[in-house]
Amino acid sequence: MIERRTDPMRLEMTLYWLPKSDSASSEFEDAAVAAEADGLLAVADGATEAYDARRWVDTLTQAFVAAPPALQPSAMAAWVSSAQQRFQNGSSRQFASIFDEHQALRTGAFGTLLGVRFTNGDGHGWQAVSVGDVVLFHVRRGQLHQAFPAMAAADFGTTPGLVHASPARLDATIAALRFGHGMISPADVLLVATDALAHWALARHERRQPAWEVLAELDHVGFEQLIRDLRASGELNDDDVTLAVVRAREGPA
Amino acid sequence: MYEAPISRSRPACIVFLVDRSASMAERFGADGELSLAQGAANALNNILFELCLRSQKEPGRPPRHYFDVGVFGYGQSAKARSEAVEPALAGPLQERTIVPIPEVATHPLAIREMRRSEDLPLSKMPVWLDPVAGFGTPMCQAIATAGSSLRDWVSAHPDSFPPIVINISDGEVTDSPYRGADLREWAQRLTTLATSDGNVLLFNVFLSSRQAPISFFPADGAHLPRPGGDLFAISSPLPPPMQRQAEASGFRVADGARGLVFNADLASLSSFLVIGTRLSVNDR
Repeated sequence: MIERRTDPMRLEMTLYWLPKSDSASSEFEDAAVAAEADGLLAVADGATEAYDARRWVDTLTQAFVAAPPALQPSAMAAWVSSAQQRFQNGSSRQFASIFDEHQALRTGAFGTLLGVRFTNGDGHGWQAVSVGDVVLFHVRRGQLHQAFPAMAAADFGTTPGLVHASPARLDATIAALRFGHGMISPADVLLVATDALAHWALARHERRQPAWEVLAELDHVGFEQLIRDLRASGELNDDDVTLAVVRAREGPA
Repeated sequence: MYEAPISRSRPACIVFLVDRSASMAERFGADGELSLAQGAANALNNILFELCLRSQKEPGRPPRHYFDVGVFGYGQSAKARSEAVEPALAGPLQERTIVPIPEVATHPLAIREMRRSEDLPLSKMPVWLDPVAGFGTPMCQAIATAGSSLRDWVSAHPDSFPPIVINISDGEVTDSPYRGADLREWAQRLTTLATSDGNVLLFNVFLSSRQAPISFFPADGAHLPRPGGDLFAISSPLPPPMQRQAEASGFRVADGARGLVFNADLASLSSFLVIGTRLSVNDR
């Protein structure tokens, strides 16, 4: 339950996701966990080039909600290290093939992450940590109020920051951490999208075409239809897609 | 063009043509330990392993079908004391021209303790090819054979990244003209094949047993000694996405650069194979 010391406001979280068009659901390599009562949300995206990425993004998102870190660098370093340890402990010591062995040791798992903690101190707010190009869009009265991390459409496609499962890459992960925060007003909407959809939305925004209302007003059927239509028209990269929609409503939870 | 992402519904096709002529028995450098044939076999084994690894995404599952691969030897046959152009993979794959990477992964010739590079420790590695050297250099027939195999492939994969053919040789062609067409005509016929993402790419690696200046991605063939001019002429221009890959790997790539490395040593052969096959997989 979110502690409330100001005007009653509740947050409603909805998750939408759709695998790449020719992939099975079991191969989906985004992950998202929303804990509405605890005011926590985590969205992660396994990197295309990674090995065993699905298990890593599951580990990250579940850990963020089960044992949320303080959102500052030293606490995040300890939290990432703990998640790495949990992932390594769950890795098989027996490899099914020589390719598994080499990929596990050489490439390993990595991905991008955005974790959000909703707060209620001096007003309602959000704090977030980001590594890479999962993006939080804070929308107010239909307009983009804030994007975190601050990105332009042209920034996608370059090498994003990554959370690595290998303890040897902890320093690179820590160096890629970004922190952000904002205040929430009633009727605000926060959208958290993995890279393909975030890129589409920012490109639309930059062309002054509607994006935020389109995403904020989706239901599950509308989400799947939108993604399929955008893929078919070539407007959206055919990639795994995750969208978390957080709506701030007036009134008690 | 040349930007189609690789996925299981749109796999890429990479064909390697490897010279197995008598001169491939010469050594890399004056005091080199490896013959050109051994170096070429090692480099091909490495790149086949790399393609398997790039396709290995999930623990306990086979590599995904991101690539179809063809490997053809020309010169000494591996099966008889004669000159031939023939598929070079072994065992159950020996008669196959184009093979999905999951099948390549399943049927190596052997697993050996090897180093993938000098700075890595010994580890178990699959190998698919052993060195062979003898007879002449029927490069025209090799390119014709690749074209025959790829005609069906491009029909079946009209929207895939276009096939990449990488020809590794140390000598001058000995079968030109072949069936009334010379090397340039065979190369032109091959590179006329296309998908919606571009024409077939033909890249060439000319190995040298002497320590000679290495020309990487030349933009002009006029200064190259024989047979550099001919190889330059039949090498495809490097598409812009690959130019960027090459530049990211530290090479200076001028406008008009061709997919050719002339007087390659072992290191430049390996680099070329990596750059020439680095395609963007987008299939999660």
